[in-house]
Amino acid sequence: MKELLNIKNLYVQYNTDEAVVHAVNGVDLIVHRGEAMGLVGETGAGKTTTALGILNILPEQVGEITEGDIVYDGKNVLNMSKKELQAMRGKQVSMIFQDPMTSLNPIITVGNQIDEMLLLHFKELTKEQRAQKVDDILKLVGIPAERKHEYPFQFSGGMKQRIGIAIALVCQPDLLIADEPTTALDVTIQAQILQLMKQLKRELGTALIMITHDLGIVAELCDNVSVMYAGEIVETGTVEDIYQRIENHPYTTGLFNCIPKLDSNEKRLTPIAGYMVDPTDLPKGCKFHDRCPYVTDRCGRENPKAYQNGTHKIKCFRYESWGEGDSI
Amino acid sequence: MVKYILKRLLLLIPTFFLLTLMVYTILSLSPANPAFMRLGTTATQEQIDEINHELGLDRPLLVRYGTYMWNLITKGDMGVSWVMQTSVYKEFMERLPNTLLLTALALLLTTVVGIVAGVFAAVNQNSIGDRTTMILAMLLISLPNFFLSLICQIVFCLQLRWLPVTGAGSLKHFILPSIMLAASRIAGQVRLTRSSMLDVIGQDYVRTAYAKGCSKRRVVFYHALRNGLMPVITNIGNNVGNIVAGAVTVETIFAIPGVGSMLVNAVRSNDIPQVMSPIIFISLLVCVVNLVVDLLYAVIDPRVKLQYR
Amino acid sequence: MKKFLALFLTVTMLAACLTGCGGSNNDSGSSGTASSENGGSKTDDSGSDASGAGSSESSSANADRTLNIGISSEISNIVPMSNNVAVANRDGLIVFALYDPLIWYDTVTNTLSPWIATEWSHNDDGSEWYFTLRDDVYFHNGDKMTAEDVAWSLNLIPENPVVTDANIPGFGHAEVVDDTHITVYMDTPFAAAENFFASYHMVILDKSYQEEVGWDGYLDHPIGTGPYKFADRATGSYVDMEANELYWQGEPDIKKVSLRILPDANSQLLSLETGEVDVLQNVSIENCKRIEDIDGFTVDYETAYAVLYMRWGSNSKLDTDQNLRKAIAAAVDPDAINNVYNRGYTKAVGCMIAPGIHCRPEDGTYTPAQPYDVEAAKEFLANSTYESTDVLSILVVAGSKEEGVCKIIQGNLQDIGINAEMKAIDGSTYSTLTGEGDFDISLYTTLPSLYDCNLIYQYYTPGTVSFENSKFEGKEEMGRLALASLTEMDEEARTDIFRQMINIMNEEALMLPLYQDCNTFCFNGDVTNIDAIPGTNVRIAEWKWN
Repeated sequence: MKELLNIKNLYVQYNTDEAVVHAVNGVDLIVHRGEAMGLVGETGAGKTTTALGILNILPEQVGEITEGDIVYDGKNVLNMSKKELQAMRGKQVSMIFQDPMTSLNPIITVGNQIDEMLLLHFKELTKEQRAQKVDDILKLVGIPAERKHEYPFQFSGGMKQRIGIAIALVCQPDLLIADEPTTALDVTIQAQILQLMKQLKRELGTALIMITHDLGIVAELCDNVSVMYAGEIVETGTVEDIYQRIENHPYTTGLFNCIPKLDSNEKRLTPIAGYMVDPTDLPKGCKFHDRCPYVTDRCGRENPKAYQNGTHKIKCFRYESWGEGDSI
Repeated sequence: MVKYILKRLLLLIPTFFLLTLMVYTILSLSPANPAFMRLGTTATQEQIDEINHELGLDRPLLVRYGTYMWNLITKGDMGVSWVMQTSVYKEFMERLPNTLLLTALALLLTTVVGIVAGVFAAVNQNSIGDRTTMILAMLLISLPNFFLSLICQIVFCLQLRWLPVTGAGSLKHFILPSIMLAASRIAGQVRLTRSSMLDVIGQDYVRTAYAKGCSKRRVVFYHALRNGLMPVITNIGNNVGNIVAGAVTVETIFAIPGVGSMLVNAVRSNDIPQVMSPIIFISLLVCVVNLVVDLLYAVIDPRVKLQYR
Repeated sequence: MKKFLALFLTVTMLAACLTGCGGSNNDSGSSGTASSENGGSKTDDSGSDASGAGSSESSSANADRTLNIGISSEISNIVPMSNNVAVANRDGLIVFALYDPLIWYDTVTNTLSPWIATEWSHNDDGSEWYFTLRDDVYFHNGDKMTAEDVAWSLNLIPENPVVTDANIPGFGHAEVVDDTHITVYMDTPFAAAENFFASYHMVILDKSYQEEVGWDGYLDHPIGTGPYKFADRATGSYVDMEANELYWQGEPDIKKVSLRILPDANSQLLSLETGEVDVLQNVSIENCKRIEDIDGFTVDYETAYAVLYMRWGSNSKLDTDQNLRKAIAAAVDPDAINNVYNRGYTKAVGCMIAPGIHCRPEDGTYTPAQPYDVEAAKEFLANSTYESTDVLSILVVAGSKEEGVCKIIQGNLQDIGINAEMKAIDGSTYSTLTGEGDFDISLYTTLPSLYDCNLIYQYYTPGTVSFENSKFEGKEEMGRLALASLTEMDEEARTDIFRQMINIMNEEALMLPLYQDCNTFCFNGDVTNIDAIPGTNVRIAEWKWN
């Protein structure tokens, strides 16, 4: 498979009046064409920031990429001109956002919002051709085409997310970033949306970055998984590598322990001890050492490198024996 | 929509009557007696009674109010000034165009400059342009109108000789007054537009728009502006009331014979017929403008429009 | 988006339309220019039946220039005697430009001289007045003024009781004798009748014109015999006038005059400086001093016949407490107000009538007002009913010059331990409260519009609300004297009546005169021959371009 996206040593910080928030701290990530990558981690781990970085739409004046490269299809996103960026966004890389309630413009009809993508990226299409495409994509996501003249507030949450997906897919991008697309939806709708995404991925062959904190979704949808903690990827590998649950980063283990198991008698879930580190004041050494049950003196002094075993990479001294691999 | 407009227009009627009645009552409660105003210290009780009778002041308040309104509605008769004994209608109509022009210009200025500057400041948040705009707005809001007018008169009329100090002869005469009238409201409008636009620019759907590949211009004007204008438009309705009220001072300073100065003079002399017509005009204007604003709202926001169906 | 755009366009166009019609509407009267076509046609009209005199003015470079005069408020009544509304003092300027009185009162020399009436006399008991009229007077529309017009104008007096009841009591009617003679019959004699016929209350109007257009039409386009013809007016903004080429005294030098209403004092000053107005009437002394300091501007000051005085409310304890009145009178220092506050431009006065006014006793022949004397004031106060908790209210008209004076008086009163609070109220409330007497002290400036002591009669007329309400000692005597002053035709005897009244007023401290006000004109170097006079019958016709 051909490499589509290559993030190298990415550092992103948010400069607010009160403090500097270190949101992403040296992330390396590779996504290939057609590959589905799950990006997992708890809230504030830097998943969305990484995604916004790929599109270079970090909040103006606040978000700042201090180091690193994002190479998309051979071109560095960070060096692209405004024009190139605009041409890339939506056309080659598009994004589905977390909250369908707020991510659609409330005063523009959904049809026009989908149509805008075509207007921006397929200027050669006639009005009728565009209308046809809008109808098609609506049908594809399961919304009657005649409802395209309605406004977002006239749709339910799940329907809105379907529209979000339609917007993201209408230009048939090479890479789709889905930022917790189901978090804001209730469970039955979640299942429908996931089903839809699975189907679309199969039909359109789009590469996917699935951002979620739900390990279940990843297992269902993704080929590879990266686990993020405090702005770093602490573990990456194929779904099999990670879900075997034999060798995992202690944080990943913690995440797995948070999933209720139907077949077990345990009454209580085992949460990870302590709290997420303060991104304005990151600890030295391994970011997870405060919460890690296997912590050693060394963890507080030195940040572990990525140790590799086949496709599986873990940033933890416990797997030092694997030998150093490419950074993650 | 038509039904809604009709409903709103119908609602104007009780508002109108309640308002005029209130004004009429308050004016009548004033200790000032128009008979004394005309007769001076040499008034005898007999003369006072005679004038009171002539003006209908010996009848109950509600009867007087009723008569006034009846004459106004059925005959368009605004009565006769108690002090000057001249037709109120004639004077009112003579002054009306000046006030309409002044307030229309000021409102246009407020709205256009306020929105443009506000959007500019919001889009370029924290830039030098933004800071300058905000400091200017702060200055305009904190300088009293008469003081600002005086300074501008000295600079533009006396030093530079660009504009006339007083009068209402040509459009040129209205330039400075309308700017002065708009000044403090522009400041408010800029600040409101800026914060409203900033709010919208921070919304998820604006991020969506960027992610779609929209240019900044398209994001601002197509996606953000209309959403950001909602509270701004409500404010335009409020501005009309404020501007008409401000016209009172500005008309006096710049010697523009308008409805505002008519109102001031009439209130000073407790000349009820003379007070009523400007008040009715102002209140109707504010009511109608607010109706228009509500309708505008519906044009811009489909959610509101659907409510009115 | 399209809808929004369309809407915006509509709004803009609407605004443009408004702008358009407002602009053109106002253009028609902005200055002399547009109104000239209006006046031009009139010139042709009247030229046809005129003798053809007064066409020798072509040399003047300023022939087309408009003289702009800044005044501070709207004309009170542009047609005297038309609708039972009195003309205000400040409007002498326009009344004597548009109209002529029967007799002229010269406020500098205090003499009456022939005007429309070439001769006048009355019979011994003052019940009949005989007037001989000029035969060469024309109204602005070209109509010849006849004895019929004069008699008709005089017979408007009973129709305007508000104006005339106190100013020409006892008027009966006027009759035409022949083409140039009329007789006025008085029901009861009135000693100051001739002063009334010289006042702005009584001017000659065109009977046939009124019968043609009615009073509304007359007010829309006034017509008189005066040196200037009415050209145009916008209520609250301006009155334009043009020289009357048929004027019986010859056409005035300045051909076009515009009275412009500029309510704001600062704007007045700036307008004068920029040349938008050429002349300002009666701006504050402070502003006069400022104008004096600017090159090319002249200020003319003249002590006025208007007197600022303090009065007591008829329902106040001051009305019956002579000691308290005297305490206040002795505590107030008029010199401080004149010399410090008014910079010496106002003048101390011994009684409420200025010297020179008809039938006013000479200074030194009456008891002067209580002089400033703090010790005496304290003594009076000790003997009065004033208690230290009392707060006396001082009424002034809001925004008037009396407000400033009031602050000084408050200080004076504080010095002897009297607490006073200023109540700055609007004009109509002021009139009502002073009429009803519900106040302690009021401050006001009054000009005797007849230039006669009749003003004293007006204050103590039996039957008026304020007189009937009051209870002061000597009230009966004052009322009797006031009535006697009306009918006493002998000047000496009448002066003596007023002397007695003034004596009582000053001895009992019924009023406290503070100063004679100051009349001013500020003007630029383009105009000349402008003189401030003590009265209000200023004649623009005498002014000239430089």
